[in-house]
Amino acid sequence: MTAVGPKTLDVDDDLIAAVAARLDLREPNAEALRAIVYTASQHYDVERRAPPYECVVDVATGVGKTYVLAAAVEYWAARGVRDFAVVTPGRTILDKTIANFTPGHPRSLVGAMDAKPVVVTAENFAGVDHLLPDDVKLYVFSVQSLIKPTAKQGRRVHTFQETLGDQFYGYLQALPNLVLFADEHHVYYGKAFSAAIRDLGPRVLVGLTATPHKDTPREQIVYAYPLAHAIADRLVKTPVIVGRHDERHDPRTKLADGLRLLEAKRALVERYCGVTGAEPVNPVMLVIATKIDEAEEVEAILRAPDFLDGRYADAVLTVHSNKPDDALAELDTVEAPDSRVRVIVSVGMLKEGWDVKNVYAICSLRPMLSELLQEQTLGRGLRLPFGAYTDVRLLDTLEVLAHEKYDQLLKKKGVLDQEFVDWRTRLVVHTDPLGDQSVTVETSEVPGDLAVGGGEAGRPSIEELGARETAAARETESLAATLRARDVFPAIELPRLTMSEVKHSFSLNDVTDLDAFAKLGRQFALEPDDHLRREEIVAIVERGADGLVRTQLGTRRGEAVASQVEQIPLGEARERLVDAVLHADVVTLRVGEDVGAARIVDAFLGGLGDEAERVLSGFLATAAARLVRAVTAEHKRFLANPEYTKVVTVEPFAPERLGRVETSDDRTGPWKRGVGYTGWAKSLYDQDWFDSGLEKQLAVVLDDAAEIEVWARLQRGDLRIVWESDGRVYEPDFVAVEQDGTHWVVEAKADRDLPSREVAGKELAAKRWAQHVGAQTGVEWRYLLAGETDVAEARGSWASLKQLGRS
Amino acid sequence: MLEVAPSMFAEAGGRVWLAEWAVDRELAEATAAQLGFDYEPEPPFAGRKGRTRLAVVDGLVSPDVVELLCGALGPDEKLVLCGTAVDPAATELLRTLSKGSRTRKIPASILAEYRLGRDWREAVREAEPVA
Repeated sequence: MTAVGPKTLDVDDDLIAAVAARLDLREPNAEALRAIVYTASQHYDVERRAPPYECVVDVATGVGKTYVLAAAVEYWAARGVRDFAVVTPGRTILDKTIANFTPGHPRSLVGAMDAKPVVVTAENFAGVDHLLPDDVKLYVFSVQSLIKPTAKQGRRVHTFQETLGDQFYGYLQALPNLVLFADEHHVYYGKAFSAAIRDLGPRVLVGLTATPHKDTPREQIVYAYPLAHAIADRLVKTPVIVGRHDERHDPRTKLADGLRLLEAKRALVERYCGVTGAEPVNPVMLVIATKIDEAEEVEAILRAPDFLDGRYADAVLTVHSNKPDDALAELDTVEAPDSRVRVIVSVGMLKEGWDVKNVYAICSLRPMLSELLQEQTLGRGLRLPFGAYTDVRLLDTLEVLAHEKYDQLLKKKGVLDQEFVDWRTRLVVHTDPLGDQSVTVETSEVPGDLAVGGGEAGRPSIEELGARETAAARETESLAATLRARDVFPAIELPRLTMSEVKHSFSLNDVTDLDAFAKLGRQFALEPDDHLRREEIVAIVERGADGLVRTQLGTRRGEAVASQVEQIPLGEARERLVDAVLHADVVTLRVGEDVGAARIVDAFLGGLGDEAERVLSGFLATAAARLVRAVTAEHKRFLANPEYTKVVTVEPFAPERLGRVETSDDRTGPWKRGVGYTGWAKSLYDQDWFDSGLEKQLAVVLDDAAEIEVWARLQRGDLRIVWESDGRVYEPDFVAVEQDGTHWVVEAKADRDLPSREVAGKELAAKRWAQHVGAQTGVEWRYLLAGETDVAEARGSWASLKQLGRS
Repeated sequence: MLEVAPSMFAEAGGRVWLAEWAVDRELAEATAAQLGFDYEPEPPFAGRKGRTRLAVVDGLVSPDVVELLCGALGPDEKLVLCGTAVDPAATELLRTLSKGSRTRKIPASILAEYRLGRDWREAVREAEPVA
């Protein structure tokens, strides 16, 4: 890029949004992409600095920073970059990266990518066709091949060439616009790497890590999304630090403690998968040992026939440097539902790149809690096996078995809080009075604050082992009671309203009134030449890189050409105008449209009259632009409405549900969030839970009404009514069926919300929905919106409520 | 010429046209393939990529069409809306209603997005004017 024009950011926000949607980026990953491209633009477009632009992105473990990498490739590829490279800290991550960018691989991300990068490694470099400039390439190599220390002083400290090959290295070095990602950047951060990078001369270097190297300059970290936030945003498991009441912390007790919790989780996983149809998961415990002896001691305990009835005798996998390769190979398969492994004993930390989702408990035999809580260790157990929180707490938590007893943990809470203190960044865009934009990164500290006792999803906690086991048992029990629709009622038939494909035909041959184009011609002929010369907008018919012709409206390049008029024969001018109209955006390129285009052009030429050849010779592109704009404006007059139909399908409504852990049969007492209320006479389910006391009151009205045959509290996804053209969806609270067959969609709202535009919009949408499905199914559907005063004044009477509410 | 589902075209009278077979479902299927979406008809949509839905309109994408289809999108979803003709006003409206959603004209602009980018490199080939 050459430095011309204003010093302002050059970032495509629409493209960022498009990339985020197609890669289904989690919010922090989309923010990371935004931070990278904004700050890179700050470096080049605002500050006009020389390459390379270096930054570091710190995204908490388990949030998925590979997606940040893929997203940055997508973004910059769409802006013309063709060469990307990934440096990895070793073979494991190198292989993982190749898998991530190999079409069809289970870990592949390229399916959703627009730019399908060709993966180039030292092995296949020679075989890749480098002459295809349009292909996006992703060069992948390990840092070892980049930095190879040599003994001799004074020589360059890296001889990349030896392992990567002269040709490959030279090729990369010669690339003018290389964007380089350093994955697990902290592992090899330092002088040697910096020197190697300087030699390679990338345009952009993005370091990706969850745990930045301590020497990384703070200002280089343009995006930080700390673990505490990832936990709070429920993007990773919530750690629960578990301590015993008593002093016992012998290895056998500790392992048994962890395994009892693991067994509770296993039982819950099975039930959960049975109910929801989710893919099965194999929960495992990770035991961190400090030495090989200690690992062997653990293995011996677990393998003993008298330990937990010998259930773990053949379920242990021990990994350390002296273990044969097949142990490491098995490490890659522990996620398989049929894996024999229940416990992994590791000497030291398992490296980055081993990122399974099924670690559900972590312990060590030594008092090294603060080490367990470090992100590199804790991170091995944070990924979500089901991709999102299940709302079954035990399935959303990682148990960290502490050496300390519970009381000591409480005393140490302040110190443990510190483990979760971190800082995060915020991108701030500044606009100066001229409209030029720049960006800065602000940072703020994120406090750590562990909950004590029964915690909540999204907040790490300290809990006592006995209480934890009791809670686990309760969760297991509640999940055992899967809620099925009670079959004592006739089935509720719930309609779904969808739309067919949309068709909207328009042909130039539909344009029957050509007067507007003749008039345009007459005006054009009368317009003084210097007017036309000053007109900016011209139409260019051009052949794109794909070989296809299109009409582009743009501004005139350079000076007007009137002085160098060469006569264009009228026949040729006519053909060019027909081409311009035919290839306009608003025209379909189908055989026969040329006839319609010619009629329009002929009307225009008729208007130009005798002046046609002279004027068109001077101003053909301007005339073409006027015609295209006129067609674009005029076509609306001849346009029919889009054709589509609303399709109603009717399905019996009886989804299975997971019951709540806490239940109450006090239907009329105070409302509590998350509690499953029981004792209903006419509810489709034995248990219902509510978002407000008002909703519960309304449920009681429905349940007590003689006219009502059955009702159901609708949950997320049960009934979606689109209420805004931007796709906002409204999900009503209740469906109820009266004895006479009238079906009601019922919504309860606080009085203060009733006058809002949003509620009015939803009400209108629901009424339209009711009319539509009523007309098409022959069942009467109605909508009732009840405010809190309505519910109170109805005094329990459904008949009164129907009078008081808006229906 | 780069690959733009070549069989989507037919040449006649010195011009390149949309092939006669490329209508309705066939048009949707060929467009999905061209843009790297799996063809998964779930009316009014024809495919999905992450949170992005693909809709293929055999005919003109007008502001009315944009409103209709945006109304069928889920809360976080974006739209790639292809039509054989596109009213520029529809393109504008879609940008306003759903940032990150795009219109594409078939066949003139259904190359993968990255093929159109040329910010950081010299234009590989300048577009060749034909008028």
